[in-house]
Amino acid sequence: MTTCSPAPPSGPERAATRLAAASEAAPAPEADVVDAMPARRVVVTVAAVLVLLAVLRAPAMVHAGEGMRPGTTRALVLGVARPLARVTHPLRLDAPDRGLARAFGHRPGSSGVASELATAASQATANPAAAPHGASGPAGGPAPAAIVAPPRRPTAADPLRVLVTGDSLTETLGPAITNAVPGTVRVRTETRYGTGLARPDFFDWASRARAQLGEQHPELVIVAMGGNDGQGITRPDGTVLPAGTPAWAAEYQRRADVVMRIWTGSGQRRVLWLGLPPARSHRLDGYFHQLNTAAAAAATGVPGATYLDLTPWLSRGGAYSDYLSTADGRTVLARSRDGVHLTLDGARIAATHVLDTLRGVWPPGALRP
Amino acid sequence: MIFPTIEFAAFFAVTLALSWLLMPRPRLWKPFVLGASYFFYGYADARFVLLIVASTLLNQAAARAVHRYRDRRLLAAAVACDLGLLGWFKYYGFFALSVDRALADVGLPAPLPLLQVALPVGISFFTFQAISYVVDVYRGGTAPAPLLDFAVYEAFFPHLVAGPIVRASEFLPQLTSPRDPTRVPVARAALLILGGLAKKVVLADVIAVRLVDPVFDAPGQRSSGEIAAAVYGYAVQIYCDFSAYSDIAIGLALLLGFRFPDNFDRPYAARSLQEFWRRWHMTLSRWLRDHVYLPLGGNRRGRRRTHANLLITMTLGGLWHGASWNFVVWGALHGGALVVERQVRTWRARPDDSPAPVEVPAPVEVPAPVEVPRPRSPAAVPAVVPAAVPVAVAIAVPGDAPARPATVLPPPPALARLASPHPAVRRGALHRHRAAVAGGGGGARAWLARLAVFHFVCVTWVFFRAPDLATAGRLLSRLLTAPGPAPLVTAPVLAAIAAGLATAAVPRSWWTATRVRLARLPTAAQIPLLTLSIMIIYAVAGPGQVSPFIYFRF
Repeated sequence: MTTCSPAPPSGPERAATRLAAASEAAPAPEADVVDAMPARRVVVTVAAVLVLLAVLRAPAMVHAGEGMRPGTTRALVLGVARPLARVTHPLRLDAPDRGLARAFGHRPGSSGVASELATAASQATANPAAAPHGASGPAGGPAPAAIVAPPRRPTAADPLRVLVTGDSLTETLGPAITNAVPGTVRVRTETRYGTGLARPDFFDWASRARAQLGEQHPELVIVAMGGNDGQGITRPDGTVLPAGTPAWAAEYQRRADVVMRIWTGSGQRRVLWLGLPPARSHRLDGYFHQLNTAAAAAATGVPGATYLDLTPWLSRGGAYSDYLSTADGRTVLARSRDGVHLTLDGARIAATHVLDTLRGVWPPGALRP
Repeated sequence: MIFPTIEFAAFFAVTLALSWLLMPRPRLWKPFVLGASYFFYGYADARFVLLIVASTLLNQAAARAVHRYRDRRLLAAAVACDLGLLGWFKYYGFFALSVDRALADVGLPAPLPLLQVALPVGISFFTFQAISYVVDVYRGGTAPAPLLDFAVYEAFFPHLVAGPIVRASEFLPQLTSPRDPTRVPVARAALLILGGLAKKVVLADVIAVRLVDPVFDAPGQRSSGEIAAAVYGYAVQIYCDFSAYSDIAIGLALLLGFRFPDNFDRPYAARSLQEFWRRWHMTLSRWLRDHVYLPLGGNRRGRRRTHANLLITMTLGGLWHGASWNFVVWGALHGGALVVERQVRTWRARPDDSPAPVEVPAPVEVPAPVEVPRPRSPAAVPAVVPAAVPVAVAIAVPGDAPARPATVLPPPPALARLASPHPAVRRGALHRHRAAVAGGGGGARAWLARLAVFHFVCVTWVFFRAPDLATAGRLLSRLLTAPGPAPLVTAPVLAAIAAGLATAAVPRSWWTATRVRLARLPTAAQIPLLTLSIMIIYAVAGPGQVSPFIYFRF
């Protein structure tokens, strides 16, 4: 751990040193002399900084781990971070980081354990009269639309407030919809990357949805999510529902119902839930089918909620395709390289049909371009 | 693997320790660091490791062959293979779709299957390094390295995915002898890494999320004020994002004992577009100069040919960034402006005003690496350039510099004296040059030039950032025609833009002073200080995720 004098350089290095000295070429000679730490101490310093960060930011590490895809890395990170956080919290070692976050105006994130998404009983199951059972269509049961307030006619001075929100799918859908709407509509996009309904421990859509209503007062919420939900769902009691099982799909439907009801506020606002387009991966595509069925079923039971299946326009005969044709017959690259997301061109195709759907709901001419 | 993640932090801590442990034994160190780099690369998608291995084997075979037979056709074949790989992975879809559309317009069927080819991260960077190696060997500037050395050079993880594009002649000599384990410039590395982290998560991401993304996504709903702010904002965002990656890469390499060339040198302080390109993505600029502009003939074949060469080089440079007409337009705009600038300079030039361009033939011998000064750059890493030619470098007119040496070329007039064989003259010239740069130099005229260059660059970034040409056009027209309130232009965003621009004004001496102060602290003080700095950076950024670096896509 001592600053031993460097061994005499040899070969090219000696030439370099000599030349550097001769021409006073070293940019900061003093700095170069002073700033020279033995490698052993460098390793120790780097390791110490990282360990300190892990200890002082254990909750952030847990959060990062929760946001990872299921797998070894996630298990490893959480395997270290969760016990660490359990130890550091009572010792108040996480206090400095929380204080810093607060100092810069960030609210501490809500803990996913208590999420409404995980705990709230679905209105659909609590009130069987309003719930369509199984795969029965919207025709069955009392028409939920009856309690929905009729949409107002927006003007340029008082435009319709639309919020496009969800996971990374909204990254292109938001701009595409924004650019497609007439001047009487004001669209905002809020993209939350890597989120979904399966993991309120990482990001709690229920509390975020409530916050959005307070902050942005949308009249219509267009939702696109599910891209990250092809994974098991952990229930509050700790049991894991493996992805693809009927219980998993039912739980997803229940959660979709909860979050839709928050956004619609028992019919005061409208929700347009966009179905996931087919995925290139067969496994993922199977999950997406189930998620779409679940979301569609949830929407039928929520007054003001509509489910829009985009598959007819975002596929070739129902099957995944990178390239699609637009309404005017041009071929465009519609899907991004990952085989899940839409390119901007693909999102534009979707936006056309989103607008068509809305024109069917709003008074004739209200959303004319 | 991405730099600011837990996975990378763990990976780097282990790699750093083992690297220094094995450093005295190159036979163990080289396979180790190669394995670590492949692990780093294959972490997201293991298939792509095969690609980089294939590229390494192919280029090594080519290097040996061109060294032995000195046959231009072999070189052409190797470069064609490299460009073929790049073309297939990066441009096939764009090309096929463009052909498809063009033929559809005249009613012909599509001849090419429309495929979506996976894009291996960093392919543009490692392919360019491989090409520069083979060309260097052909030109005699570099001897063919042992396979393992070349493999490490191509895959070394700090520069693998987003540069800097390190030359073989800069990197390979560093492999021939173990790195000095007694003198690691940890304060410089820490400043580069932390500064990069701050630029990325505090400035670039804030500007992107709060201003640039909403405006570029839907310019139709934004006012002129917001669009103007977003145009400036994007200029700052892309600088803070990309230079951050380069800084972090350079800093990580320093901790491992390696020196990379600088990649950015306060580009928005440039007084001409030519100067801008010597300060922006410097390692790409010099690659394009050495491997496109000069082989095309540089400025040696008359005025028209020079102008055409500039246009071709910059347009190809644009296309390198991605398969899209936006990048082509962006590159062509820069090429066209460089032509105009050059023409104006020729008209203005008086015979005694500036030294004539000197084209220096490439030296044949392999020069020893030498540290040369990199004036003007904050926390600069000294570039390693061949000792035989640093003098020759300085007299060449920037942009037309000789093929072999040089990283960044300072402006010519003062630098002619730097080429003097007399150390005293050289030193004086260097001091004057530094003083001129530090003082801003040139008064009102220089400032006007700076503003003009900056605004031209800002406007061209619109094409770079906009999702398509139609959006870019709409943005620029609304820039002048959409009055109204600007709710997106908030104080924090303006502060971030101002801070990003101010990084160009921080005197070099401040960096040095900070570095010395940090280095003088005992380790027991350094550790908490560095930890606290990182905590503050993340506290400012908030709990959101760090978005990927822009240059990952290229």
